[in-house]
Amino acid sequence: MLITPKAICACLAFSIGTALAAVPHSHGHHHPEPEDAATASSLPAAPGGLTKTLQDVKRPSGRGRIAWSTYWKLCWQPVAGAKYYEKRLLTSEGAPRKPARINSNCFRVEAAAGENPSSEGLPKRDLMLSMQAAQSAIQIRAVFPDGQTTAWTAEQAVGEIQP
Amino acid sequence: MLFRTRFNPVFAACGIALSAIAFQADALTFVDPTARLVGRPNITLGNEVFVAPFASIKAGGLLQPVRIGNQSNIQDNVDVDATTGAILIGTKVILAHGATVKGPAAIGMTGRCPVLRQTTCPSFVSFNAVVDGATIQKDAMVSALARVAPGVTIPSGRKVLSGANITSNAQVAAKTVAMVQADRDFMAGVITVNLEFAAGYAEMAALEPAKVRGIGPNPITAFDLHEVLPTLNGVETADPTFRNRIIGDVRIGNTLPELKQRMGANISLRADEGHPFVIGSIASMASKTTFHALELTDIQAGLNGQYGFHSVVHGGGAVAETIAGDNLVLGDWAVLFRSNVGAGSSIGYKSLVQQATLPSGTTVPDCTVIIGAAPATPVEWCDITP
Repeated sequence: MLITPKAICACLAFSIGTALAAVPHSHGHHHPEPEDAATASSLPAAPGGLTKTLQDVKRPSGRGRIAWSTYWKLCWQPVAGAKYYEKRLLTSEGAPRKPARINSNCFRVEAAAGENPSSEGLPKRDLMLSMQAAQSAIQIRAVFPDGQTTAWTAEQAVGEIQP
Repeated sequence: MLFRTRFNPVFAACGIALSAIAFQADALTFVDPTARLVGRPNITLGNEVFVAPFASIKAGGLLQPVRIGNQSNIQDNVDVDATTGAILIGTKVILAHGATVKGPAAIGMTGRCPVLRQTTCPSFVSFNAVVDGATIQKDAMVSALARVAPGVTIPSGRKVLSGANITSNAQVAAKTVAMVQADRDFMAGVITVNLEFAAGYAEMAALEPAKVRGIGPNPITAFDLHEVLPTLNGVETADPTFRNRIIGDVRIGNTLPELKQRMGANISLRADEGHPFVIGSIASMASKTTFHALELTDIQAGLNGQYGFHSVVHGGGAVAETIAGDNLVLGDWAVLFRSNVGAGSSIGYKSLVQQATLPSGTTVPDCTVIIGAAPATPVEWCDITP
């Protein structure tokens, strides 16, 4: 099959599952943090009920133009007894060890933005979100008053809202 | 900015050439022994710099120096060539796998940071991208397989789109998009990770210099407390004399004699964090190929893969590994990044497949950018040799 730009769009409509079926794959394993490795199985369950949404925020920029941002928002069910939450960034080049503190049960980050004639809408928004998803993902865990933590959630690609 | 190479009795005792490895207890800079530094008196490296395998840094004369600032990283098979003019690389600059910088050029030296009181912030040049006589300001990015031509300035707060060829400042607005917080978080994370690499490799080199040559283990870092050796045809292998770098938990179906026949030179297969990437077998792997995959981002490649000159295969995003089926043909200068590619597929010369799923038998033409479900776009500098 020779791919033309139009054909590529059609090809990409294939589900990930279709492609995986064509490629034997034994992934599925989890790579715990070294410090978690011994205890990961004994930790309380990771925060659940994850929801991911995209929020477009637009404002007039003058002369018929708009400035806009698309925020990727990740929320989770509050964990009973949690003092706060921690966010771990995973990049395509590796994961910094130091997590960041979050005081609510949601995390929001700007994942695309632009400034253009309002007639153009939000150009390249989806492309920018795909580029984000390839480079970064987030994990969340709860921290209790005694310093104990839950396990980390599964990784959530920044900019993606599919499960 | 000082070049942090000073006499170190540990290296001297181990017989390590000081020209090859820079190490300082309080400010770890690491230059992989396979990296080529030409015109050394006119090259300066800052503190906590990581120069990865087969990177090439060439200074010309006194007026064509290369200066690299603190906490920057020069990744595998990056080519920094100042023989045509000075190259000034600032603090926290990321030159990702296969990037090319030709002088005169400046990256991360001018412009502004998003937080006004900050004077240093990251900038980024991605896989197989080219900065040719151009200026990339602080807080700017050049995406994979993009090119920025002589005289162009990419201002702070802008990201060049993949495959774009920006030949004048008038084109900048149309061929870039705005930087956002997620980009800045990403760059900060990459800087942090590469600081770990600089420290981890420097410590490994100081203790056992043979481990940072040829086929050897990943360094011990905060990411991975255990060294893991590559496995060739089921045999755990260490060979510091091998011409290419195969690092960490890389599992290849070929034997070492087969790899000696089928691999070119200056190849870096780097599983720094000890997590596996599995290559069924290699039919051919041309020079300057780079594989890199880190924590949670495995690479699975099938049997009989053919990998072109200066190609890059990368895991990414930590959510989905990169998977290629059997008989993959990856063209020269092509990039496969966080994608699933079915068996019998070919990705053409200087093409990018990122964040995509391609069914078996797919042919991606030369100089094509595929990112997610977005319409394919061309690499606009197909006929220009980097």
